[in-house]
Amino acid sequence: MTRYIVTRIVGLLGVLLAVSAITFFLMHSIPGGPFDVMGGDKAVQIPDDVKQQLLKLYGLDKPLWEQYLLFLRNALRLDFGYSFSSSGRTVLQIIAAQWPYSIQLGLLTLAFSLLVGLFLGITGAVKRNTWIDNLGTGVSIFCMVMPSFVLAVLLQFVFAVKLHWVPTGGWESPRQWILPVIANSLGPILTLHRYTRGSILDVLDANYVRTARAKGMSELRVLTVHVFRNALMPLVTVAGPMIAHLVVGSFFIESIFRIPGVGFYWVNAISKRDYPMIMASTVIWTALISLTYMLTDIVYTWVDPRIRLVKEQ
Amino acid sequence: MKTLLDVTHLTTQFQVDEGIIHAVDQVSFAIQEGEVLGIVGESGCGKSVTALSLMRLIAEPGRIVAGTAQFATDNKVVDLLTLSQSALAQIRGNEIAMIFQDPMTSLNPVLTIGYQVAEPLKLHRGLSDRAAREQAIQLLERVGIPDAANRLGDYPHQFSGGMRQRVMIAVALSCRPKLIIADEPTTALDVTIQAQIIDLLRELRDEFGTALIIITHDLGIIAEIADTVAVMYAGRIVEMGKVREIFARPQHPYTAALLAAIPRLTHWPERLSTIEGAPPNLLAEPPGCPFEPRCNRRIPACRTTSPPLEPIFPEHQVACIVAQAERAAHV
Amino acid sequence: MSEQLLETIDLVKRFPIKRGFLGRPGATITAVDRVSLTIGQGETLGLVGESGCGKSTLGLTLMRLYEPTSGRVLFAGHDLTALKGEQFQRLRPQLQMIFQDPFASVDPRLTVEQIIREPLDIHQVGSMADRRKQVRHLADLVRLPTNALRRYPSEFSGGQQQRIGIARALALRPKLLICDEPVSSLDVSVQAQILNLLRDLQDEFQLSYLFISHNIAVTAFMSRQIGVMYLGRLVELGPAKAIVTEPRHPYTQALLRAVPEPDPARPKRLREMTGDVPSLIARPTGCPFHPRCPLAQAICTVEEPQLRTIAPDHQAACHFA
Repeated sequence: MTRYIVTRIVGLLGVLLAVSAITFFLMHSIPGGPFDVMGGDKAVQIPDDVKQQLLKLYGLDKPLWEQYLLFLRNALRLDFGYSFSSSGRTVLQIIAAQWPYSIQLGLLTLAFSLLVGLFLGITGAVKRNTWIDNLGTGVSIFCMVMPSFVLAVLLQFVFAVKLHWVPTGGWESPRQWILPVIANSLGPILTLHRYTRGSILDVLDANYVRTARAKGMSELRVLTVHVFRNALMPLVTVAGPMIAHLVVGSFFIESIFRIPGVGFYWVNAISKRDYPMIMASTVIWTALISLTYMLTDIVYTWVDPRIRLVKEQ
Repeated sequence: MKTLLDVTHLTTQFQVDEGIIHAVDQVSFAIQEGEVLGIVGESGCGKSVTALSLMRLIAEPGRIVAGTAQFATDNKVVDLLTLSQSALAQIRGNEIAMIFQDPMTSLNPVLTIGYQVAEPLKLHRGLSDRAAREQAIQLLERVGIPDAANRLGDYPHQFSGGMRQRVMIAVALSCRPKLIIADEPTTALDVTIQAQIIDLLRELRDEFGTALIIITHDLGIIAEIADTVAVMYAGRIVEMGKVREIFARPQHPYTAALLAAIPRLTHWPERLSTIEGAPPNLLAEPPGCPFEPRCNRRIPACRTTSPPLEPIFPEHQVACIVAQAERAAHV
Repeated sequence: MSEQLLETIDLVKRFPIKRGFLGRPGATITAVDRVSLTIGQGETLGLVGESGCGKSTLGLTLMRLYEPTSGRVLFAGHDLTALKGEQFQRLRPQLQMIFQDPFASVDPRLTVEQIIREPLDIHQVGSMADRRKQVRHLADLVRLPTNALRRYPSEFSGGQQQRIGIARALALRPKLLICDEPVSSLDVSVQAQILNLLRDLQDEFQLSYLFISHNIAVTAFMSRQIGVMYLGRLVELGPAKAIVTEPRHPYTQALLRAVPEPDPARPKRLREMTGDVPSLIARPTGCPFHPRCPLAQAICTVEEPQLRTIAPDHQAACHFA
């Protein structure tokens, strides 16, 4: 097991290196820089000599490869520098301040999606081709075709602007959580519903379920002891990465509902050419997602006795 | 000897796009306490579907459309085919148990062997975990699993095919059922392992007096273990009787041809005798005998008359008008 | 005893089961362990054994569908194992194979005609018209209905699919046909048809067969000689009748005792053999059969017995045969 973890972590470091390099050079290849314009709505051109000063201050006048090596050196000490667009705060400070909002949004989305997705998937599979199965499929198709940001705006318009049932944005009170979570759940509900339904249908046809019935178990017991456990086990492999992708926030949802999460900051950083922010975010997300995949694999071996990480003799 | 199970006119059909598959067609037979009945036939003859129908394990698009299956429980006789779900659940695994063909997929891969063997005991006998565990060890030892106590916590994939089948037998035996239905229990196993399993079943039948319905395509297994045999073709029983009788003087052309087509260890002909043609199409329901197209003793009447299963010798029934006619001519 | 067509000399096939550290070979299993046998022209050698004995692997290795780990295969005067590339390809047509699952061994999207014609196309035999004619001829030989050629394999029964496989295998007029469990997935009534067909074809074309099966009775019907395999080793080799009536190796004896005979009048034999089918990974020392052998002594755990002649034309690998 230790050998497995060590191998994975070494691989992870390799991935981080590759990702950081690609991001770095891609980032610099986009025309324009962080100091071309200044000031929110009224874009004001910065005078050239001021711009040169700024570039020199942030080390942006050095050759690219040198900048990259500097980045690596600092990254090893977990120093990702100051944000270009947020005066006075380091990138890590910003992320630390904003991330909790995204995490909250992500976890609430996960809870809601699990509730809806699992319910529809399980009932749909057990009561195949009845109205509840069709309802589930209908919801799935809706989730598949409706872009989350379109739904977000629609919800906001109907429930906040017209009906005044909930506020239009922000993240302080629970009432503000409702619309963003619903809009953010489209993808996860689709995945969970399809996966659960498919998995349960497969298991229902399995020979060992027939054996269970032949032993004289009630249908309920057959379902709870033999079907669900086997069918939902593979869900671990789906849930792990899903959690990782959820907690890094959503640019659209956060923008539309004015939630100060990292998704918003991250995408904004790209348009503002906030290089330190871009690099830090990318590296952190990559590490997060890789670690989550690794953890998911490990957890899966606890859940399914047939799977071992390395071939056993 | 009391009649344990009396099946009359069992008919099971499958509704598919192309029509109706007549998988089991008016099948009737009876089995006494402690008797071993072998149901033999080739693929598609309906033998497995018959067994699954008795336990009502047929899933959509299959449906049992007719027939009764009178089963003698301890205090009364019930019709398995019309029992309520809850009453049926009382009988399954308890008074009638089933062993399936593929031991690899018939056991739940993520539950321990100990759990799965103890399950019927806890369910039907209300045993505590501890008591069920004790019984499970005894059962596993009885079916020949070495070091049973330590293997309770193992999973099915840690056992070989033969061992898994022994576990299935242990599960089936756990509540001392009156009847065990074994659907091709050795088909997926190697010959030497198959022999061990057949020997085991014979021992258990002798020891516990359990009746056994054994379903197979292998006439050799029938000869080894069955008291009575029913030969099925196209969903019907075409010949049935005591094993020695049937093997010594098979009356139905299909039975005779089947016996002749098996390569033996005792003599080596230049060519094997064959049955011409191909297995029947179960979608069609011919008015006459389903074997007629391939039969070397057919007469014109065979195409229009569906032959009933009727006695021809003591303890020997056959569904063939030609065989009956020949017998009548000799009497 | 006719002319020898094929001979294997100490043929070995090993498979790796664990990746060694940094690319070095790790643990291996020996699926075929120093097997030496011969097949005469126009004759059938049957190979029987249970799962894991290596009989199928032997067949595949003979044809170099698996590359032999060591040992030699001599075929019609050529050393198959030494030939490379072009030279070997030229011999390929003479060794063909038919398989256990006839449907899985054909491309379901080709018509029957294309399937049978494929070997001719690959080796570019004659013109297209010639090939078409040859295909029709082959279909007749295996008694496929005339309209079969235009149809797809999925429209046929198992027995007919096997006939298609046989027709394809015969297209290049091979000298040796390796039959890997050709009737195991077929019903008894169909099995008899296919076995008769194979016998007829052998008589007509002087074909040699390596007939691999787990069913001794079927193998005895088809073969002049039978080899019994256990855990990759050939443990007994002799005339079919002798093997079946007077088996000398304890495993062969146990195998024969285990076969259920469709004759209720014969007394039921008690079978003493216990134990499970062996695992290739945990291979016993000395004689591979000793853990399950009623005759096993101390020497059996230490020294592996070699095949030695115990009767004319009959060999067994046992210290006590």
